[in-house]
Amino acid sequence: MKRIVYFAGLLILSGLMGACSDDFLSGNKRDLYILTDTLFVSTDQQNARMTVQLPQSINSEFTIFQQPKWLSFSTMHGTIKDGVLPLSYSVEKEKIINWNPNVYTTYYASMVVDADDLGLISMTVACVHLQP
Amino acid sequence: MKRFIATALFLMCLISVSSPQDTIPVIKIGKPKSAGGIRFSLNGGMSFLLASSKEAEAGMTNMGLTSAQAKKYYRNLRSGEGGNADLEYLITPAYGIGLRYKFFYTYSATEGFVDPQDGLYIYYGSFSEKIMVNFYGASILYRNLLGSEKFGLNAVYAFGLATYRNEAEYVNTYSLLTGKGFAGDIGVQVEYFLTPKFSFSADLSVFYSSLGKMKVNDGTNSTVVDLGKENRENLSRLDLSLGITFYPWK
Repeated sequence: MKRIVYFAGLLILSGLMGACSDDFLSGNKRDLYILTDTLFVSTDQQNARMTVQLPQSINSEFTIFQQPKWLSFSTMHGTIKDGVLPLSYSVEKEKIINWNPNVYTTYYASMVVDADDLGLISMTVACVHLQP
Repeated sequence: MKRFIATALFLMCLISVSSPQDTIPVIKIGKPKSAGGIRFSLNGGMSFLLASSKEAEAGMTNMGLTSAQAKKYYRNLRSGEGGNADLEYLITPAYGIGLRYKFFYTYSATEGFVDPQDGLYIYYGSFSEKIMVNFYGASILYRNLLGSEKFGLNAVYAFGLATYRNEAEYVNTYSLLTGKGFAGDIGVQVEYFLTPKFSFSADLSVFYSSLGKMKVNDGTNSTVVDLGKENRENLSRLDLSLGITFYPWK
């Protein structure tokens, strides 16, 4: 009987202890890295691929957190290997604000990738329209 | 039920106003061999939140998630695991008073796009909630042995303090929502005695509580939010559980 009461007490105590950890809030204090390079894409690209070399040679899972509406990705998750970030994307030019097919121009926006073991990586994306 | 409540009230009055000498008649009329002992039980099972999630589902859909995603998310969140530990002192074979600890845990998560409607950007991320409700209360037990040595039918009413904790994630933003308030728990229990000291039981109970205020903490800032009458956080739920009970003094 004593043993049962002891284990029941341990069970309750471990439940209470587990309920007291606020460590998950540290997710709000993630580092933000801003890449100085600009990623260039063009309005006629469909199912294209590119890689981005990060300043740090990390290996980490990533999720695309913020993107312009005119850029769609085949998958929102991936793996960074040795600091190389792979991206598979298509450009949906109809979703560009002030889209004008008759004007040769470049549209700028930013995207943010969330790397699990590093933090948030922000970069500028430029969409070039070369066929007026 | 009325009889149970009336008896419970009577017992409470008796305990609170009587002098030690006054308790003698109670012992005279009811105390057989099996009274005066401790009863200890542990239960675990499934719990189902009773609050409607329609408004929350609509809010999630408006943010950009699909209706199916929102429904699945709240269906998962409304059902969880629960359990309780009771320690009671049997004043008579039929009535006992004691302490009840109860917990409830549920978790749900999904991923999806959020459109801030700025025309330029969309965001992708996780939505998750990990809800824990603890209850600490005083309990009143009524036991009906149904004239059988093997089966018993019990009713328990407990009242006390409920604490609420919700670890929420909303697209890379984490919040801790906490609150506490009065809670009650009322239930019935079917008990099967394997031996005089040990029994199995099946419980059905309704836990009710709602919070009017909640503390929101993001790790840096903490604010207390008054939810108002219409937006109170309803923690009420239905608990179904199986358990074991010990009568160590028998």
